[in-house]
Amino acid sequence: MEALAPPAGAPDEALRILAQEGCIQCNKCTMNCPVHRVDVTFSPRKTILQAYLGGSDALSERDLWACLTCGECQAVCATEVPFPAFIRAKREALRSVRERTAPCKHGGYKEILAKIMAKPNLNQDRRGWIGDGLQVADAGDVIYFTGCMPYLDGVFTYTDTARIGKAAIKVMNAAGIVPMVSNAERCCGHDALWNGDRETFETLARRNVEWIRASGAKRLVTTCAECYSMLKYEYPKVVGDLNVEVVHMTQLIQELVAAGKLAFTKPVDLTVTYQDPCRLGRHSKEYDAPRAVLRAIPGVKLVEMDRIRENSMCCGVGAYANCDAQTKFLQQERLEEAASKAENLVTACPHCRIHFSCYLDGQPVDPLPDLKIIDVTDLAAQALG
Amino acid sequence: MSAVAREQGSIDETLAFLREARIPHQAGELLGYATDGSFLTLGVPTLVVFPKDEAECAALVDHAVRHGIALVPRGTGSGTAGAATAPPGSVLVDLERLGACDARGHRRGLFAPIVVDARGTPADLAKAGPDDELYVRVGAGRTSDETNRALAGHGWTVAVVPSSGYSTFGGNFATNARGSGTPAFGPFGNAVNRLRIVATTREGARVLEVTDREEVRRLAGHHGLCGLVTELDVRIAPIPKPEDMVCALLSIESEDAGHLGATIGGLMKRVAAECRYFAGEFLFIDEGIVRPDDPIRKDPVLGGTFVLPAGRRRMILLYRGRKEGMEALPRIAAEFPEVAYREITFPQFRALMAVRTAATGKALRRVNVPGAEDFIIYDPARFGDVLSRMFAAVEGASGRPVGHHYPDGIEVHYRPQAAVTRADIEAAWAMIQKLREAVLRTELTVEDRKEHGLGLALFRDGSPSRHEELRRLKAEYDPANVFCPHLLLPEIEGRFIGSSFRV
Ligand SMILES: Cc1cc2nc3c(=O)[nH]c(=O)nc-3n(C[C@H](O)[C@H](O)[C@H](O)COP(=O)(O)OP(=O)(O)OC[C@H]3O[C@@H](n4cnc5c(N)ncnc54)[C@H](O)[C@@H]3O)c2cc1C
Ligand code: SF4
Ligand code: SF4
Ligand code: SF4
Repeated sequence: MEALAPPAGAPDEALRILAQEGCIQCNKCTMNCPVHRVDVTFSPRKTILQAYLGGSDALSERDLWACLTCGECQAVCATEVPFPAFIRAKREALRSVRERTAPCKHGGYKEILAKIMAKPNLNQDRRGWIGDGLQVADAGDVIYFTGCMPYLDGVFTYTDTARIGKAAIKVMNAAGIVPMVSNAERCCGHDALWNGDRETFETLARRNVEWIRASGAKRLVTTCAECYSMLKYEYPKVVGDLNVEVVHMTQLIQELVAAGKLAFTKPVDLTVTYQDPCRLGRHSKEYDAPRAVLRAIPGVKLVEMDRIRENSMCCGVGAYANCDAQTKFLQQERLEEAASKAENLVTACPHCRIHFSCYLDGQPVDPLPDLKIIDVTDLAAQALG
Repeated sequence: MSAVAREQGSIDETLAFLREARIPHQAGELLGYATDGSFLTLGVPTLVVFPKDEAECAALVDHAVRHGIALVPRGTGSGTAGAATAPPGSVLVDLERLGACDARGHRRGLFAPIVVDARGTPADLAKAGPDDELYVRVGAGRTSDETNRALAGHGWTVAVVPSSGYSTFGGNFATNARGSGTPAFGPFGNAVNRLRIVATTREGARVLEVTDREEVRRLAGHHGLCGLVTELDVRIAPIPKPEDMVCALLSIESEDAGHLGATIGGLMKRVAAECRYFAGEFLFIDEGIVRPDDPIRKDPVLGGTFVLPAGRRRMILLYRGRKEGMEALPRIAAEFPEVAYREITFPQFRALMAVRTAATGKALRRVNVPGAEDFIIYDPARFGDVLSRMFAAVEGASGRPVGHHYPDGIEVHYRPQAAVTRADIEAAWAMIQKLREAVLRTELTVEDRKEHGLGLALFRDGSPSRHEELRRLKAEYDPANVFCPHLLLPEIEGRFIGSSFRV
């Protein structure tokens, strides 16, 4: 009983985030948490109770980084306890105290990239990947924010992420849009923010907003769910209004098709299922636009998985912070679900595509039928005549 | 040797055994396991074990008998009776993974259920008819939500599902949970046809298979006193086609809670006698029950439910059932002129149920204070009297009463919420005592905590015959007395954990 004496000291910010919505200790979050399924000792509910009783710093290193920040717990919670926001605040708070960072899977590649991107006076060529036949401009009404995509193929050689960018430009060109692609663009800061490096995130946000505002563009389009959630929801908290409308590529396509400005004329005869990316789905509440795009493409047959929309299962990695041997079992589980519905898994986030493709490129923990991972924008581009 | 040293010695022995047997576990000051859904605590446990199958359970129980170690089974820890909390020195046995994992110990969210008939013979759902008596054979760590996901494609569902669809079947059985389906199938225990349990002899563990229906019913509500239930055959039922279903919303408002209760009590009595339904639920509406931006406020049919004239109280009652069996409902409702009746769609029913579920949980910057949150009124004619006493006792306190209408009684849930300050918590406790005195009276035919089990309140609120029954059951299944011996000690008392929160 001694251990349950109320501890002294004011609650910290992270604890305040938890406490604002009273947790009723029902454990629904845990029963829906993907990490809990592969590590029974990991439990958001347990972490909350531990924080209530012993202070939030009691969080173990494992619990701090194992959370995918996917938000499934919050989506099912009757009182909407914002557990991912708590984890983010805690990663931020403990960074300076314990000087610890995410156990990044790629030798710190993404972290180093973000740090370099935050430097002033960067001299980048962000268009080298575009290739012939695609039109981009130095200025215009529409910005195509490419995110870290131009830099990914050097590391994730098995994915050819640049094809998503090429597809996006092809689709925009087909609708008469010549998007601006800027060499001044920086990393969106998603991983920095979610891994507790607020300083780098804010620097990146400020550097980006500078050229975005100066461009005079009216719209900014992303093909990445992470960039979308940052620019649309997190940047305004730091830098105020961006003076542009931020849209995800699937929202743009849906709009162009509805307005008759874009027509898919070439059938793409594929049976597909759709992975709601956490950052586009639960974090940004956009579930319908990608499905509308898939339905607009002739020949595409969409077969839904059992766990979709708010209850969709994460691709297994959040902000490149937590990929380990157990992640592979989560990826196997989700890909088995996908393979039971279709031969193609479509997603709307290059990072889901990378994580799933990486899994298929390595040694699956159990046999898997052939499954192709495709980006929705890529599929749309294939349907252009 | 001091008691503390002896306790530490047996924990060390158990740790050595667990390492040897390679059963996952966690040791230390386990603050995260200090309570369950009850917010009651018996202290901070120091060891929790996560067996994944019957063999691991049997090995653990064998060890416990030989070393005189007390075990406290726990499902997902959603129980609201404090029975899944462990007193110092006991080992908490988390059975969430039991029969729900692959050989590596990883839980699969999706699984193919094994379906059997009443004799335990495998059955094919694809060929099943709507009147077939079928069961899923599931590990005790499985949940209704997971199983329903697996059954949905075949058009079937678990027959009795508590609002906590994520609670384990082992927990549902041990508390004899009630929920949707109870009006048709009875409490959870009535929907179980067979089970396996790791019990004890005086020398060690023994695994029993219980197939006698009466014995299964006797065991239902055992509260972890008899052993570790590892597998169950759980009744399933076909999901009726939408065109065969009816969902109804009945609404009444008044300034007088007693009048509301008396009217609705009369109506419920008629419904219980003349209708067959799957679910009967009620809640009281107040201005803050849904957020101002909640889309339900814009629903053309449901939106008006949340607009309330000042000083009035609105009670809404929701029924769902097959059309065949619910024919009398509109007629009965028409006999009560103050009651507005309308049919609603299943999604609308679900939306209102979500409000009902959230109503008990919503506690902005506050904690739920346990105490008298669950009582059943056997005679609907007393409902008005009970409600007026209840509202008089809880006047000014936060917390919202909601409940179920079961054919054998009206179940009311009420839990106050308190800011985490000593003054607020003490006020909530005092209010609960007032509430208990006001409503828990035999002449009102009210009994405490029928639905969620008695748990730590077995002696405070349970009848002597119930104590005796549990003692007899325990002596038969657990002669070594390793399972939750504390629950049968009259002096055992849980403490409200919220007073230790630092928020
Ligand atoms: C939001 C919410 C809604 C709820 N709604 C309902 C409802 O509608 N109806 C209802 O009846 N209850 C409800 N409950 C209470 C609770 O969910 C049920 O009592 C549930 O059955 C408990 O299951 P559990 O897996 O959480 O078990 P726990 O709470 O972990 O344990 C409960 C009891 O079961 C024993 N136990 C668990 N598993 C085993 C096993 N395998 N072998 C032996 N003993 C075992 C434990 O020792 C304990 O005595 C609700 C709770 C919450 C928080
Ligand atoms: S689902 Fe929400 S209320 Fe329930 S334990 Fe988790 S955080 Fe707490
Ligand atoms: S955010 Fe995802 S991984 Fe983290 S606790 Fe919630 S459900 Fe689990
Ligand atoms: S799954 Fe993702 S984080 Fe893990 S190794 Fe592959 S690409 Fe890296």
